[in-house]
Amino acid sequence: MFRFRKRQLIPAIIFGLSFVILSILIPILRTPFFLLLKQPALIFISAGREIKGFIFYHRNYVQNELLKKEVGFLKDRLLKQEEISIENKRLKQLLSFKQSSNFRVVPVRVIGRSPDNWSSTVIIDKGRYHGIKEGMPAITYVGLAGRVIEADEYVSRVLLINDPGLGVSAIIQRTRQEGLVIGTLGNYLIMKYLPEDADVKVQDVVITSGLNATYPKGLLIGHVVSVGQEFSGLSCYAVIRPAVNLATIEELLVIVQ
Amino acid sequence: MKRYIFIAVLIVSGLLQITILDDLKVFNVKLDLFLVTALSAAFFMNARYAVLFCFFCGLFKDIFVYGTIGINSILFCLWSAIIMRLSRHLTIDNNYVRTVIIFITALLNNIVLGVFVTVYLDKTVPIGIFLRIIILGALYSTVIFGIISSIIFLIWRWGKPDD
Repeated sequence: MFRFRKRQLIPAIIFGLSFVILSILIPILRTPFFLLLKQPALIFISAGREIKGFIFYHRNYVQNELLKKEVGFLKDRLLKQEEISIENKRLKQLLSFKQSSNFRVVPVRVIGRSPDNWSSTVIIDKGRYHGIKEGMPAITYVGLAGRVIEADEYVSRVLLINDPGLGVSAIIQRTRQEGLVIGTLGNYLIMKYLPEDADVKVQDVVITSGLNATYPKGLLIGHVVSVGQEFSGLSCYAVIRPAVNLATIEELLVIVQ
Repeated sequence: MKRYIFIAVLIVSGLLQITILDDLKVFNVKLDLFLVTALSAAFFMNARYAVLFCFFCGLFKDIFVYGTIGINSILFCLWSAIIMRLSRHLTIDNNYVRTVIIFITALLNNIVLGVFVTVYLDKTVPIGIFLRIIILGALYSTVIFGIISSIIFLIWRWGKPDD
């Protein structure tokens, strides 16, 4: 029979007490630390960006040429899209559809990232003072990036969509098939709980479903890269490449309304 | 003087860890500069200061990581105490021995953190990614330790003794 002796109990108590003290101490220290390191972190980020620009000069040059071509092509497409958008608006009015209001967003800068491999978060330079609250979705111009999980007075923390702790209710745009998108800590996301016979194809677009009140409907999450069967054989899953390049985000937009 | 050098190294490591190191990922695994700095201190400083320094390294890391409730502070203290204890029984002046110790410590640290994240924070990490973080993270830390410890050793010789 296992029995605790006094000598064994003391380290256990010290160990437990340390956890309690630290779990109280760390949230208190967080805000002053973030504020203190905000400016140096921005300097480090700027320095890093300059060094990267210098190292990857040739790659950037080639990319710039390609992007110039793409901009021309996209301008043409945008013009056509605008035409469709105007037509869509007119038709909606005709059908008396409820117009979906535009989001009110707060632009923020990324001042730090998670230091470990077990979570995917970023620290942003705005907080409660700027209207940011816990639970608000963070996006980029491309699509969904994450959700605010901690909001201090002047800094906040955003959990990115590739963290396994974040689940987003999503649909396949083409077939309206629902599923749950979960992060993997890697470069891809997984869309789970798809029926066995789900009509999902590679390159299908995945967007937020709007079923969860946290995320507005229609935010782009990514594209399907591959589809597979779950081990149980009862459902299938889709591997998704996020639309937002989570490794390089420097600015975000937090939807405050 | 030497203590201040380590504090400066810790602050710079922390800033590098949360800003630039994301661009230096190897197979999507990030280096743990906090751990490398803490373990370097365990090799160079005397026992009392090393444990204290490792605690601050862990605390610094915990402040930036979400939801870890101080596990890094406790783990870093524990690793430094084990290394100190080990140094009484083994000669750890040899670089090869140090490298092996660093690899094992980093591996154990990653395993404990991985289990903590999976069990306590209830995150489902695919097994491939889980193993990749544990093994590659430890290897990456070991390789970088060689560089960091050389720099610290140079500073160490240059700094005035104060202990």
